Amino acid sequence: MKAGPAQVRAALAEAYRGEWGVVFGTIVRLTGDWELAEDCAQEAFSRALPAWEKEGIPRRPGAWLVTVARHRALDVLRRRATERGKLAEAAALEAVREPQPPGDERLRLVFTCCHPALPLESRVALTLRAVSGLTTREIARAFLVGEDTVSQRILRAKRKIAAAGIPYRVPPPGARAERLDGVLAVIYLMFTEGYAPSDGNTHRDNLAGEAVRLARLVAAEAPGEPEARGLLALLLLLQHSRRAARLDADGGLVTLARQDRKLWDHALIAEGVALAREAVVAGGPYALQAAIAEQHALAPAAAATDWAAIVRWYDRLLALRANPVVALNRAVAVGMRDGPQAQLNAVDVLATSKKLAGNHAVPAVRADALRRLGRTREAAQAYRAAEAIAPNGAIAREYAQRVAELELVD
Amino acid sequence: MKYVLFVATDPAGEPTGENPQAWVEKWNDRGVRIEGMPLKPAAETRTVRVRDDRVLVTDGPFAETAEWIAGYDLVEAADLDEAIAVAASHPMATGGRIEIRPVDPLDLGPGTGNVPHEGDAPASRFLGIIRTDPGAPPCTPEPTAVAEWVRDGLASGRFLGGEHLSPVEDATLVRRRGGDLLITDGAYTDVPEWVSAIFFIDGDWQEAIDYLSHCPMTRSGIAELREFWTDLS
Repeated sequence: MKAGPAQVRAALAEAYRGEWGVVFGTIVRLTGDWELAEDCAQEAFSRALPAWEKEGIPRRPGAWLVTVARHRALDVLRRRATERGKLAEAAALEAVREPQPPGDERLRLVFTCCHPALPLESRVALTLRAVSGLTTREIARAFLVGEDTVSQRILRAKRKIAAAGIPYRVPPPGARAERLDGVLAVIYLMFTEGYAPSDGNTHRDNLAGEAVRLARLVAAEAPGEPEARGLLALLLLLQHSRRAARLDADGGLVTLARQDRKLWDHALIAEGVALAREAVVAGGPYALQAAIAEQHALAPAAAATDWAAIVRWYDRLLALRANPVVALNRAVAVGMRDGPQAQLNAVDVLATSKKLAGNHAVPAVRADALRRLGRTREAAQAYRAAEAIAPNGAIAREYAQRVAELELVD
Repeated sequence: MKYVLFVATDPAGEPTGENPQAWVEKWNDRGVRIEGMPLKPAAETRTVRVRDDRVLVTDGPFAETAEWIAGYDLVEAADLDEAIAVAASHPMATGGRIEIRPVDPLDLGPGTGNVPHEGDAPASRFLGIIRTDPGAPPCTPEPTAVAEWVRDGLASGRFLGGEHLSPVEDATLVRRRGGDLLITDGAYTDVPEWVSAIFFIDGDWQEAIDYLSHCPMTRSGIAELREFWTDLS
């Protein structure tokens, strides 16, 4: 059936989001050649537009794209074999001609791109390129670095995969849980990069959305892993659900307590809560963080938050591994449960932690306690200290506004 | 694929007091470990450089680093994951740190292969560790010159073999700390003078130094001469 250009474009965009990683991964699996995979995947998607306009949208666009990419790989390998008169390509040729069933192609690709022997920045860039199909330009804009830097990171990763013999596969059960931690860490890093208030940088917002898609993929394709579901729950409860309420009309940050909860996406909250409750049984760190996010997500108003429950989840999280940033968040929760003096005491205990040195949240949490204790001048002073070391403009403006409010009171 | 494992010390390691013999036997039996030997302490190193045709020999390693190579092993593994599993099971992954480097064979032509040896240890007295030197004038040794140096050494009995390594960007570091397996990108120590090759050199100290001073790679790089522990009983 013929389709209109708009329909074809929509189908192609959907196939790109859903199938890029499958097409790319199939060629990697069959040939072990990452450059060739890139070339063949691009070729398949560029041929799709005119072909689909002429012949109609295929019933299974993904299978169509994989076939075209495979034929391209065959052509290139045949040409190479003739040119070089070598038999090295023969095995790859055979594999491409008689492909094995694909199975969990994107999961293999994710595990390979996130191999711990690759530098972290390369893992992030290669995952976004190979699995999500983002261009180097899109990745560069999201991370506020040059395109050359991103290309280098991807090239470095591809080279090491080939030269060091990093296998293309989902790790066997013995190593799987350990490697999954690494995959989840890469997805979480993408998310936090994209979640940081971005002064209107939509590429960064896309990054958070991409992280959610990857988390969905891993949770769906690695169903036996509660932490994969825990991470997905955490991202859903933190991200999309609060997205519309996080920034005001001027792009300023709206803190959780001040957000308009009617703007939250309650369908995503319901999905996140269901996942979180299931995942928290195993008690992993992402699931526990999701349980905390759940408490916030379900409170009808900031004042109705069950801070005692949140402190209990923080205690469980800290029992897994001591972490000063988590301890700081717990100090805030204690302050909400027991009052500002308790918060001040808790944060002063943490102020000496080396890992928290230079962290703007320490003076900000102190300032909040002082403000609530009525120690206005000290509070303003602490907010100024926080403003001075704020990581970006939106957060600095938030602190400046607090200082201004306190000066009005004083 | 072949990999060289550099077994290195680490002041932050968690010594196990375990002898690596069980590890050696396990991986020998599986046909994964090919050979390997521990080295005498780094303090006994002699370092050889040739700059502007002048031979510079110094006592001690090329630099004082907190971590130093205490031994090497050559393994034949299916892929990096198997090499990581081999490294991670070594007691020095806990007590020290292990760098995994893929071997990048140099084809120097006929008559330049390693001398076959009995058992799982090279028969030479010394290990020559060749490092790059970013401070030296750039110079890429001619493969023909290296081949000639190898053939001379094979004829005189100074040279018993060696392994050329792929660049340090392909290195992977393996450690066990607090029960967790840590796998990271990078070498055993963070210096710009990375290891590019190892050679098995025989003879007395002076003969070995003389032979290394004729190696084309010491004109642009650094050669450390380390003595193997041979009297392990």
